[in-house]
Amino acid sequence: MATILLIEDEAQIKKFLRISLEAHHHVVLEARLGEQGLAIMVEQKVDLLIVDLGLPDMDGQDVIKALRKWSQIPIIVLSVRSSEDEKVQALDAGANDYVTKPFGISELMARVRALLRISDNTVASSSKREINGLFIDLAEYQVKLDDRIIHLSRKEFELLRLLTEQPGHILTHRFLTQTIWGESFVDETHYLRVLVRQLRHKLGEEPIQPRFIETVQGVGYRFKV
Amino acid sequence: MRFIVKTTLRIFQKKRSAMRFLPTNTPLKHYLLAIGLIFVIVLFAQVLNRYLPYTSLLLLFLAGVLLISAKTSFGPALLSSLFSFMAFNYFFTEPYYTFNILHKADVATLIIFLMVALMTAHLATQMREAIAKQEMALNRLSHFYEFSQKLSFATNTETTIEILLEALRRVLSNDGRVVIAIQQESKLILHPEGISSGHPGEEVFKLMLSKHLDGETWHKGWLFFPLSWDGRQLGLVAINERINDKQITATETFCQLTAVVLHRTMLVAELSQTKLLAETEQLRATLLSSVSHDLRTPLSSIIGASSSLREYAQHLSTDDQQLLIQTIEDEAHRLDRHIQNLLDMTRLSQGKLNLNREWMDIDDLINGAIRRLGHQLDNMQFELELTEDTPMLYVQGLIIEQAIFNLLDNAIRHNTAELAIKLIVQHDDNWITLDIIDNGPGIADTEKEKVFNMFYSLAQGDRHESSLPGTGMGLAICRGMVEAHGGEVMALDNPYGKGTMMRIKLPNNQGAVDLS
Repeated sequence: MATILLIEDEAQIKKFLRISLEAHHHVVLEARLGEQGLAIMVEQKVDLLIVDLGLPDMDGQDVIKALRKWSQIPIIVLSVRSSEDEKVQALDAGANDYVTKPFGISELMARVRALLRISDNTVASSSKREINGLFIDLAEYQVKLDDRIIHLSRKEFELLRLLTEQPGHILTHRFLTQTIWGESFVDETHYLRVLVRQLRHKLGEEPIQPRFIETVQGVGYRFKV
Repeated sequence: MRFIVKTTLRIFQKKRSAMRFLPTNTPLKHYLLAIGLIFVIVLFAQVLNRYLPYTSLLLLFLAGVLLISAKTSFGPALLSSLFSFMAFNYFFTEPYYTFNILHKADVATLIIFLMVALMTAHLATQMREAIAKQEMALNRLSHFYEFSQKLSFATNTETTIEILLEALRRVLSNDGRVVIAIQQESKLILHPEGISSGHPGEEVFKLMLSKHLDGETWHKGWLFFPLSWDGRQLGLVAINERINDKQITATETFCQLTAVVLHRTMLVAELSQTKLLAETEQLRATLLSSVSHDLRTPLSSIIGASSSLREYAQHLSTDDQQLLIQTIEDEAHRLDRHIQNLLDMTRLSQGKLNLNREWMDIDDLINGAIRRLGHQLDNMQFELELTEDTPMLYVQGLIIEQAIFNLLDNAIRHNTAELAIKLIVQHDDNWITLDIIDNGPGIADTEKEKVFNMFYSLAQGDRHESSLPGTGMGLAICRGMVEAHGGEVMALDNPYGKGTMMRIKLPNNQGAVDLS
């Protein structure tokens, strides 16, 4: 269905990724180095990029930054467990999601599916949104959950708007605090956490299985699709 | 007459040399007291003169001399003897009120009186001096005893030297300085610590050490005493003033006593060093063997399952194939967990846990841990009890999530058929408590603390069935991580039935920050 570019130097990982992606009828292009990958994306139409952050020649971050200058295709990043900062950096630079090595294929495939589906529907531009039983009217500042009106504060509404604008994408703490409170509050993550708590409470979220807002540990939040 | 004079002079000389030991110089008032007392006795004797023969009155004067010599020193005693002699002569021998003596017998009486008085004075003073000497000796002895006692409680070299320094300072005058040099592992350490000037210098110390001193030795303005035991030179004591014989003896005694103790403390230090090395070695060996075991066990399963799959794929049913494949996946995840444990353990033991704290919701952390457990939770009942106003935790999220993960993982490992896990979160002003309750086999009271030892399960060895696979590092790591946040972890019994309740307590810091 889609053309997916894989920038990865580990042969074994490339092998099983190719096999699984092709089994889902995607076309798989490969590159071992960042430069190579960028060259491919210039020449051919690529629908989704999977890039490993630990590349030998270029930093995966640089690939993302370079690509984002002229393309908005979804990017999934592969990284190692301990490097939280790396992940956040990549997301801030423009990546949409990440998967931590070692990962099971279903994890990755779920993300691929979600991102491809989203890029098909351009939802962001309309003033009304409906996701998962949540109905949001941006013009009227109204939110309805399963036909029940919910009253949100200005900031809670703003947070919900941001999350639903890019459903399935990870929004970093930095991005959210910056947008909602402003540049100077960028490091005050506890404000954000309290706000998320309040919003979740109003949306009637279950603590263990949140329906709408998913916490991505140490990185940010994601609206579930 | 000459005999008397000679004896008197001899006694005087002896007194002069012995005078050194007496702490006080005879004050003037003692002399006045002597004269005064004799005067009183004269008056008294005058009264008694009517009732007693005059020779008996001599005894009164003798008593007076005895009193004076017992209470004061030889000087006043001598004065009182002479004064009594003269007084008796003047007042009580004929002719009265003259220094002449009429009766020959009186001369003899007076002379005998004088001799007895002098002897009394001499003996009494001697006795007094002997008592004074005894007291001083007793004092010295008690100082030594006190010193030995303190030494016997000294557990290390530093304390021992401190005690010696103090004792020596008391022996010396205020201007005296004491410097002690100790030979430790071919290095020379000086005490008092950090002393930079006002001591003989390292070179001089080394020189004196090489001479293997037997007793006190003068060199360049310093008096050196050796600290040696059983032929070994342990160090040197240097004193910068001239001290008398008694002080030298005292110093030598202190040094000898100290040398014995130093030998012991140095030996103890060596021993504990050796023990530490042995323990580290053992820990390293255990770690190595446990790593090998932990990593190789899942690898055996992976290699076994995958090779079986490859070789016999045609002969295997789809179900069997799926089973093998599942094994490979599960064991690989297990391997991943072990590696994570090892990394965590290494960081914890190096103390390199620089906490990057943030305010977190406990349900996010629980959620994260649960998600990582993946399908292991499939056949399980799960319950969470949480209150609305549970305060936020000020922690490093990933680490506490790992701690919770380890506890859940541990509970699953011990599961019997129908595992049910319940999580309860409570809080009060000081603590936020997370209880993880399972209905597994439970932990015996004697083992409740031991399970947190790093290699607990390994101690069980392969004697136990595979219901306890792997080492017990998970719980030890959990505790390390929680304690690094100022919290506690403990194993308790399930209050609602059989099984275990693992409790994590974390400090409630919410009051410290206004989060409105």
